[in-house]
Amino acid sequence: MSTKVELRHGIYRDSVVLMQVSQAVAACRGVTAAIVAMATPLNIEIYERLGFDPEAVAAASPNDLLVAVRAEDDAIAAATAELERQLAPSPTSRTDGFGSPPAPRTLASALRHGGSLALISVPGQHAFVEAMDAIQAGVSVMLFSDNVPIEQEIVLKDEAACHEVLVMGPDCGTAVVGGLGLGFANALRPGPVGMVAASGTGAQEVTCLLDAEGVGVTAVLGVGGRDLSAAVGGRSTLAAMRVLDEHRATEFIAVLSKPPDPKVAEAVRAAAQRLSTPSLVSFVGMGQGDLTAATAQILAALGRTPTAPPEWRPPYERGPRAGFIRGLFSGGTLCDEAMAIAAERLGPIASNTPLQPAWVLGADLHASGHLMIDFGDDRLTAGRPHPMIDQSLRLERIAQEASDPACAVLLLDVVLGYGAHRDPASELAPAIAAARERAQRGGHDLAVVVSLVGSLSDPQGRDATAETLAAAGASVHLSNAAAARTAVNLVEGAGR
Amino acid sequence: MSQTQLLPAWASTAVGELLRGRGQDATVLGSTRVASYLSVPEPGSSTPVIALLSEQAVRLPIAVTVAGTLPEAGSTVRIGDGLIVAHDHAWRPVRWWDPRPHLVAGDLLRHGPELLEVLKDEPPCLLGLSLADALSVAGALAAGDVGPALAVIGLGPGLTPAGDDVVAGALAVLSLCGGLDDAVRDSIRLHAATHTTALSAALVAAAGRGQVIPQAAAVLAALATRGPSGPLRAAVAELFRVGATSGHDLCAGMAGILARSVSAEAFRSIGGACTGSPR
Repeated sequence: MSTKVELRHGIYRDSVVLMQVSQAVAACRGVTAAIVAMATPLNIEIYERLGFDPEAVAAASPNDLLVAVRAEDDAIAAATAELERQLAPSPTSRTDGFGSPPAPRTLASALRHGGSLALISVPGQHAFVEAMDAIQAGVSVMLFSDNVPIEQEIVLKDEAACHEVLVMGPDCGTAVVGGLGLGFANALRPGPVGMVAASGTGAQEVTCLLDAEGVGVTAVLGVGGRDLSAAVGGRSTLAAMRVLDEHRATEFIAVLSKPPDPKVAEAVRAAAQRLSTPSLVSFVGMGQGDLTAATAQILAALGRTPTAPPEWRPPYERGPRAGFIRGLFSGGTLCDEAMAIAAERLGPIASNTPLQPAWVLGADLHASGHLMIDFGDDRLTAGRPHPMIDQSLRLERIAQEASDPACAVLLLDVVLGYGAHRDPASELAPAIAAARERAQRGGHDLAVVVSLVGSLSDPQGRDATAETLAAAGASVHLSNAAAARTAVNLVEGAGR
Repeated sequence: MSQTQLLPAWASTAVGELLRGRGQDATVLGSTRVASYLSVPEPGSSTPVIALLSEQAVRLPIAVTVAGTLPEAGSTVRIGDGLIVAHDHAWRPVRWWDPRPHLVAGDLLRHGPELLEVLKDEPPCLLGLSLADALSVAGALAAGDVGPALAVIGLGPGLTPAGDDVVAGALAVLSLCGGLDDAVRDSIRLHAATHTTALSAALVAAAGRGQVIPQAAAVLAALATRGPSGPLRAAVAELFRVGATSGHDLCAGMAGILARSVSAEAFRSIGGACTGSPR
């Protein structure tokens, strides 16, 4: 009688394959016992009950494949051959990429099936080639990719002008085209407003405030955060304004950006004067208007009287308290707007994306006074999901702030819509309740203010989300500016 | 790095912490046609194993789906600083998914017993744990008794032994419904670390955090939203197509917890119709 016992490393096969191998080998002539299985302690027990030598597998780890065959002396070779044949990988071809035939593998082949817009989200260093292919094929591009060099952005936008198409981006996270949300986008009703935006969450905020007033959009065309810089010169903004001006269903054009380069701002305002469609150019930032005020201007231009954006109050509210605001944001523009509002009344706001260079936060992202962090900043999202999807970093920080007696108000944004977390309130509400409880145990009262960006039709449920957060003790505001002012009101004049 | 090709990847948020952490070398424990499993040495990391998968593979909760050639067993892969770097490829996640389904626990528990009704109509799975055994293991876990679960960890020949799949299904539902005691979770996690394959131990640990494969999440979503039985049966059928026995065993573990509201008589009659018993 001969025995073959072996531990093989790095070989994995499916359960049924292993059972079939064991059965096939056991069925060979002259074989009296066979087992082929992962070497877990339970399978080692079975091996021992079959009469195999425990010493032979003394060094086994559960990650090893245990192969054991006992057969008549003249049958062991054939049994071993059968074992190897059975264990050989199937000849099925190996996969080497996304998609499988006949799905298109290049933009060029995809465009042979038609299409008028290419959404590109490959890593930044490869985006230029893909975007150029699409532009030269005569389709507009939404460039979700970030880290595209500015020189390449300029070349792409010039090429797009030659082909009379539009480049949205790079780093364009939000767009609505033909009623379809692309990237992070809310479920918006169709309506008369066409928006050109150099700010993703800014566009989401304004369109959701409009949605709350029953006003919908024809399109939201993102242009990328650098488009209104001196170098890029507003190339896509100006092109998008022209596109919307020619679009019959667009009755009003809104252009939205953080404060741009002064000369570019002048050019954009001049271009707006030349449009045949009524328009509003709104640059949001310190000393400028806020997003809610811009929304009110759009509504007024459409002949509507704006009403106060919805708010949801917590069961118990207390008045002003001493301490500092700690703003934890996922949307860059929302963070900027809140900082601008707070800084006008409270002075310096420390941040990783500060309004003034002197207010920059250290690498540990901590400060003793007022601070606001944009967790969506590129430096904090390298290799991790955007905080609109994965809230873990922010949840950790909420718990930390609750333990700091200097923290009087937590200011948070919550962005709903397609692409965002499927149910942010399910994680945030318990974190808010726990933070308030922890603060209370520490002897201080922690207020929580939430800026909620969402439309009535968003898949997460705008009102249900707001009610859940309010029930956890947060004051919830559909207007980011109102949320920021509420936070400021709670601490104003009580600096330490 | 200058010769390294950078490719896109889709990653589970369950491995986000590992990917964004400081770079560390991981060893490829083993590979199949559609997957490579990497052992992560960092003590206290969120998962001891990370799976690199091709598009065809079942999307494990601790996985990164990648383009390009998968690394071979025994090779070293560097993970961290936002990248996965193999010999001649590097992957950067460009999309993420959350493996923990977002469900209302009350809805899931209210409609949960229907899963057992659907399972009863399915032909028995001859190769995994019997339904009676699975229900028994899950029922004990629901009552806080880890003994039967520990007894089946590592039971089965494959990379994710059948016993582990049952325990994972039960743990996931307990976690999602807020009924998983920390001591129970830790006890099973520690036992699995030494009594089953590293991949399976990592999947059991993920289940303890409520993280499951999309096919299992779809079954739970169909239950929680309680549409007509069609979507639930379709979701169960899809789950059964996962692996040789894994889908069935996961489903049985989930059903075992969700059947808690079924009467004792019904529970016994279902169990009595099946054969076999756990070790």
